[in-house]
Amino acid sequence: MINFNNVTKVYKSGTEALKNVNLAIKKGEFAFVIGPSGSGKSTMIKLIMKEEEPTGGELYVNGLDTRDVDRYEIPTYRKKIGVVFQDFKLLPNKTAYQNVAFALRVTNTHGRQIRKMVPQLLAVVGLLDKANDWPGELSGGEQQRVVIARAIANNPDLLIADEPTGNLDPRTSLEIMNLMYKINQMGTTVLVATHDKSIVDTFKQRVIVLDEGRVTRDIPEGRYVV
Amino acid sequence: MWYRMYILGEVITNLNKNRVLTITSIFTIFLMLLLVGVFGIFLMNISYNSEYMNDMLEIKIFIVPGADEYREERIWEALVEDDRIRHLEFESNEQAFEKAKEIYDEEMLASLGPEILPASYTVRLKDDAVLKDFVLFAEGLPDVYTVDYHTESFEFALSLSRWVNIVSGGLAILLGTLSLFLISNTVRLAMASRVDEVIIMKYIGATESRIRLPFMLEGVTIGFTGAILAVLLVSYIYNQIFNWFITKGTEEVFISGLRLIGVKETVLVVLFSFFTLGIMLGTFGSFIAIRKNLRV
Ligand SMILES: Nc1ncnc2c1ncn2[C@@H]1O[C@H](COP(=O)(O)OP(=O)(O)O)[C@@H](O)[C@H]1O
Ligand SMILES: [Mg+2]
Repeated sequence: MINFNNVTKVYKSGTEALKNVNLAIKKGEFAFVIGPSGSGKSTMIKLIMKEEEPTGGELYVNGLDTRDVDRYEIPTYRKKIGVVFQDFKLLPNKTAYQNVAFALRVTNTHGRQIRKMVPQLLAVVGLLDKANDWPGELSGGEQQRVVIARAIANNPDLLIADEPTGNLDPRTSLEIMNLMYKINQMGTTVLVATHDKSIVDTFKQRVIVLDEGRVTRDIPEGRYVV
Repeated sequence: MWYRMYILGEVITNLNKNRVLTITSIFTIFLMLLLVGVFGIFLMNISYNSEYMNDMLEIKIFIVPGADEYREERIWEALVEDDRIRHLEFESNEQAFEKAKEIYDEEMLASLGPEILPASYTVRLKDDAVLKDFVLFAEGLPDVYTVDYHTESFEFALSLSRWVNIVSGGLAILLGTLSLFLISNTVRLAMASRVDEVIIMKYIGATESRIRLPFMLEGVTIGFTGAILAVLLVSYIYNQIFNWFITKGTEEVFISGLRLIGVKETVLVVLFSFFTLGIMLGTFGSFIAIRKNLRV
């Protein structure tokens, strides 16, 4: 599904965010990327999203060399990837339902299809009863659930999340992680970048440890041990 | 189709958010079109009447009524020699009488004969600038009864249309530029207030054209609305002028015999050109804003 082949990323500022990263994530896998702030987690995700380009090595996503994805092919490419980012919030002037519908609408899904799918998506994240609530009326965890519903709206092959539990309490964080796991069990490959060690420990999934841009450890069904 | 309808709703909501700038943009487009319309219709009518205007450059030399063929011939010879003349045509009093029959009531002319009308020569000059000199010359010829020409009103109309052309052209360009600037600013503001939405659309995999569409439509809606308002007002004004003209205008207007283009034809031209112009400006205005501010 994802193949980092000796990938290096040097930003224009000169910062080496990733150094010779080799990594393979298989279809259907659930993997954490963990590391302290500044270790390069977000950079990895930006490369996968084709928001940034590797400065060295090759990156394959879904069998495609990301260098071969042209500018006009990016929308189709991104439609296959669901994202949960920190700066990827809900639109405050739309209800939970409308926020999810928005994702379908801007990718030109038919109205009838949208009306059928949005309740299903909200049911998956357990928020069907709050469909008509505004983001301001939802708790942080509930908002994040809507974000996840929106991320999987176009039925992506891959779901990536960058610090999805950043502003949530431990209990809610666990619930959100459980939801991501549930989505993984439904067949979607999931990649979660986080610096939250406690969460990683309870899940016993693959853990890729980044430190200063290098993969220092890659533990299958691992615990994050300092 | 449903998601397209949805976009229209989105567009109107967003225009409403930046109400002041939206209304200013619409008003500027409206003003520009109004100006283009008023002067455009004026110029259209001038060219519509140009045939008539050309007639006004004709000089009619009337011969003393009852003059015999010899005296008519003598004038002919004097004129044929003159190299200022481009076109020369004789009209006998019989021909003039036939023409009069077409215009006036038969009964009115029944008791009269062609001898009441003078024969005439119609002259077109090579260069109309020498018109006044020529008229003096013609008036001096023997057996010439009177010389008819319309130089003043014609020159006035000609120079007026020239000035109208320049002034309205300049103003229209000025207002067009201003409306372009205002539209692109409205759209720019709309985009700034929806950065989050654009980011989400990008990540979700919306195509560039889909992201641009609502912003594009905002500009087009502004242009379109301005055009509707201008079409309505210009059509109304022209209809009023036309009605005034056909009821009592002809007697009072400084050039009699002037005709106006029909209301229907005019409204059709106005409708077509206003919508084209309005939508073009709207599209172009948003295009400028999007190109500058939306990197997908
Ligand atoms: N757009 C950028 N331009 C320059 N340097 C950047 C940029 N984004 C991140 N960096 C730098 O790259 C390094 C890795 O950052 P990042 O991938 O955000 O790490 P993490 O997500 O693990 O905190 C940091 O030193 C950061 O300052
Ligand atoms: Mg980060």
